[in-house]
Amino acid sequence: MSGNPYQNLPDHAFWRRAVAQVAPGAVDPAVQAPFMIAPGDAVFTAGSCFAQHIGPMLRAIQFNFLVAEAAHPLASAALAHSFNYDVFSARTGNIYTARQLLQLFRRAYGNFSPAEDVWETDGQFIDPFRPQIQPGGFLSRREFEIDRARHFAALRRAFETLDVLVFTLGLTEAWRSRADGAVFPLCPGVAGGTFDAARHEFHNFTVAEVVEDLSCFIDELRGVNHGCRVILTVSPVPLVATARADTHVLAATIYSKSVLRVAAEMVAQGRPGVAYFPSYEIITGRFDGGSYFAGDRRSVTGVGVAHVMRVFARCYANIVVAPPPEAPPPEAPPPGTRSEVYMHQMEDLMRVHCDEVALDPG
Amino acid sequence: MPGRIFVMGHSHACALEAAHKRRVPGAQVPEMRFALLNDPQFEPPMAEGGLCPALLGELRAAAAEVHVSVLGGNDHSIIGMLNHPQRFDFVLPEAPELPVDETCEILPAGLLRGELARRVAPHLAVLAAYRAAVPGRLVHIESPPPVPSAAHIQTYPGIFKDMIAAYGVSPALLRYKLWRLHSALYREACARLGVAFLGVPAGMQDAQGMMVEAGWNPDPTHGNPVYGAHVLEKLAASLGEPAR
Repeated sequence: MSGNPYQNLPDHAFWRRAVAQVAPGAVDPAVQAPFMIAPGDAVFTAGSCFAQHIGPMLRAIQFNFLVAEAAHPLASAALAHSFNYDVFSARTGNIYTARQLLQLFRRAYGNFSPAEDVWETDGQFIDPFRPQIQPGGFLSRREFEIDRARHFAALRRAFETLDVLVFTLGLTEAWRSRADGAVFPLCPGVAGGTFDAARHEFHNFTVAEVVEDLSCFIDELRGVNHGCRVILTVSPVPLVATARADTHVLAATIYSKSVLRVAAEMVAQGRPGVAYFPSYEIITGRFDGGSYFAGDRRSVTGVGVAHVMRVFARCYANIVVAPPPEAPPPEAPPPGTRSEVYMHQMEDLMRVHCDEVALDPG
Repeated sequence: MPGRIFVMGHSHACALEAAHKRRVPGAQVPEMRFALLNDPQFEPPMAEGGLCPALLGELRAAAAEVHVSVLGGNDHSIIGMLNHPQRFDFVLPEAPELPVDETCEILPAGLLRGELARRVAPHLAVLAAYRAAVPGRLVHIESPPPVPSAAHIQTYPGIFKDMIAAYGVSPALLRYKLWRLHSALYREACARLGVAFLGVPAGMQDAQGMMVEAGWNPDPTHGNPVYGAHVLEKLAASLGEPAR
């Protein structure tokens, strides 16, 4: 009796052995990565809202999370976070689509300058391509221009020095300018600007377009950083809303994620040094009984993120990670840096200085 | 000018108190009573959401017709009087044309404003409790503008001598911009609380908006009795009567 092609396959190829009979927290769909991440490798993250978990995850497993735009130590952790420091590697805000990523790269290198590049309302200047980057927007046109120029400079430095880029694909649905095709992360009018059907149009990217955009991005990135590696992953977070009036948001979500999943697979299969990491599968696999989504059936829980982290650490660094505590990060880093010592000294001395004047006005 | 004025505040109130003491007593000089919150008897200044009993006792004893706040006023100096180890600058929203040192980290003005807001919040809470405790007119005195001269600060470093030696005095323009950001927070709070905001007296600012030399106290941040006298004159004028 002859064998069949399945007989010698490893356990992970079989649902019963790899999912049904495995403890939920031990399901590991990543199998084997095409490359490893060394402790010193600089890892840059960008992408949709789920990508916000990647940076803390990398830090938690002591990877070298590349921070291109660091928060100034004057700001508390909470304040800095509200200004989108330490959320991604740079103050990019959410990058939902592959086109947005490609567009950002080209803008950073001066190869694309969108016609609609700032929205002004009542003295507040909103960056159409990161409209929620800071509360209240930029408070003057000059501040906006300085910040954008420095943002691009920081991105160029990061693109040219990173070792690994992790990009989380989030959406296929987007709004773009009819004038030059510039893609906005949010529909104009939602968090700045004004929607105008004569200037703005809806577009739902196809598999071919996402593949093309990712491929162009990787090629152009390797034009400035030949040896970089790329990890693609798909956000498991459902669409908050679809712009397709004839489609249920659940159906639109599955369609969008399916397109992204196929595109990521095609690019990873077609290019050396590009990997696909199954965040989407870990969170949406339902082997956990649904505990990886919060009550809104959309937000990913800490337990789910921790599972992603464990698999990522095992897959890319052979690190065994215990489930991390779910407590939020501390409000401020422990004292001891030169800046913190400086601020504590200034606070103490200013109090004594003012007390002295109050006690002895002269 | 009203017969009795009660002043509650921190160290910037000392310039007013010193100026008041130097005035020739007479019918035109109002009675002024000061409560300096640097005094341990007023620590903490708040109790059960209102002013502490010691301050309420001072208010009752003063029975003032006009109340004045000189609360806080140096939080911008904590942030920016000396060169921060990670030097920074920013674009002042209300005067974006002012020079910016682009060799530094350029911070969003909103972020600095947020950090300053966190620092002044306890003082504004006391101001709100003060407002709730007294009827009628309550005036907040803007903190004095920065001394432009690094040499003056280095000559009179006081307790900051070692810190100045280690870090150096920051550029005057940065200190000026931080002071304006700080003042804006107080101005907005005053508008919310129904408190009159009394800005820097005429003649006490130079062409760049910083404190004129005549007002410098022999220390890094405070106004002197001359400065205090100008504030009292402006206060009197704002209340509808001449000071003298």
